Amino acid sequence: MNKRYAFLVDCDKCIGCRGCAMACKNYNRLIPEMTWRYVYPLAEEIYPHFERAFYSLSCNHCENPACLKACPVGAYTKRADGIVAHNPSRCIGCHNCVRSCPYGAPRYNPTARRAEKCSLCYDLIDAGRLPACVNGCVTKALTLINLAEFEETNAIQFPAGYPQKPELNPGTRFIWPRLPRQVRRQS
Amino acid sequence: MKPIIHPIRSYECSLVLFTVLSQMAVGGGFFLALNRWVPGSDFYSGLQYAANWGLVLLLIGAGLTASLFHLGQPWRAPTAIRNFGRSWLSREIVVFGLFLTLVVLNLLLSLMAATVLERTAPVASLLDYLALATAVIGLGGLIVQGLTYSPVSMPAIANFFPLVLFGLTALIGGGAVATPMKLGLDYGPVWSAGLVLYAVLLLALPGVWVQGGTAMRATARAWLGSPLYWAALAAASAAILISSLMPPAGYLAGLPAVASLLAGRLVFFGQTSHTAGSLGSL
Repeated sequence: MNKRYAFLVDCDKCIGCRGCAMACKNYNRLIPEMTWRYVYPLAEEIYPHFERAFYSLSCNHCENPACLKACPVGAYTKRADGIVAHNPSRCIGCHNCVRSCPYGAPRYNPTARRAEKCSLCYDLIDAGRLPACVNGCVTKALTLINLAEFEETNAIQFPAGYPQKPELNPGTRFIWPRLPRQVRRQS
Repeated sequence: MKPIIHPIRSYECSLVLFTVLSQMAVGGGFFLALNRWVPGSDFYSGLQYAANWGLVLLLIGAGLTASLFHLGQPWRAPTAIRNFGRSWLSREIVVFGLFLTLVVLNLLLSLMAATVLERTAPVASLLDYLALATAVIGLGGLIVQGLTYSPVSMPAIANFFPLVLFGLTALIGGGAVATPMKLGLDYGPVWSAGLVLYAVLLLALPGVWVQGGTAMRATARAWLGSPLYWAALAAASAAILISSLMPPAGYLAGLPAVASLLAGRLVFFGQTSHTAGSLGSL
């Protein structure tokens, strides 16, 4: 594969504004109860400052997707550029992908009675544009990368608080947030 | 309006009914086949034999019907065999479809054998091999189910535990179903041993999970905190006590055993934690 699109989540830049999630929701016209991208604050046992570091997560477009193997109707396909696409017209709403994905990417839409997930806005990608969430990120914390050419040595695949499933080989990469320096004034 | 973050736990009542009833049907079919192959047993049981297969058909039919209620679009259920090459769920549907077909064949042939066909050795042989094939396909169904319901996203059950649990369900449920079947076998000791193993497994597993990672520990806490878990253990204990004090205990032990299986399966689906429930924390 000479191209494998993925998200880079720079937790150092992310301020947890949820702009990415709202941009996704807006572009994909999701029903009020649905989100395809969710911003998780890191627990204090991982990052010691409350609500100061976040993981913005949607689908990881894994190399060996659990959803694709689990789906009985073949509603998931893996494109040549690494994007795992869901075909809603095939979906029968069996919940097996929802149960199988360790990262909670597919979610059940009770109105449409089928599963849904992030598509990496492949229609925008095919038009040479960026996904809605990447465009919606005000601090450029969320960016689109091509793993086939990605060389950031500080990026990690399995940070703390993110399920370690190397057999799936998820595409998302993370930059760990700095710890703030607390300056004490001399009395 | 509450956002759908992730269904961390969901009781999945239709899957509870499907898995328990289908495994009871597999167990019932297994005992019927065993009854035909064990030397000395009555290989030709007339209308009673047909009625027995009718009972198995009722169980598998009810189970498969219940499974339809799990789908968001049940009218498109037949398309679920499309991904047979990759999906264990597709394979489960195919195998249990085959099991259902064989049960129907057993019922029809045994009805014909009891009414219109002559009692001959070839007819008896056909019944023997049809029952054997049904039992083998049923066992295959248990293996496929064990793989279907052990997703990588639920570390507590992403192992051989579901397969063992489902096998014990087939033994215990099948044994309970065999009570009205008037079989010539004394399966009481094996049945009781299966019940004891099931109770021990239920009791021991949270102790193992509590040593594991986040999702495993959450599962252990959820199971131990669930009234259904303790009800399943209590019902299993009652069944063990009754069957040991008054063998053969028949319905008196069978009913609490089935109640334990159902309660345990509700806990299995409803209280097993998913890794997505702890994103961002240890």
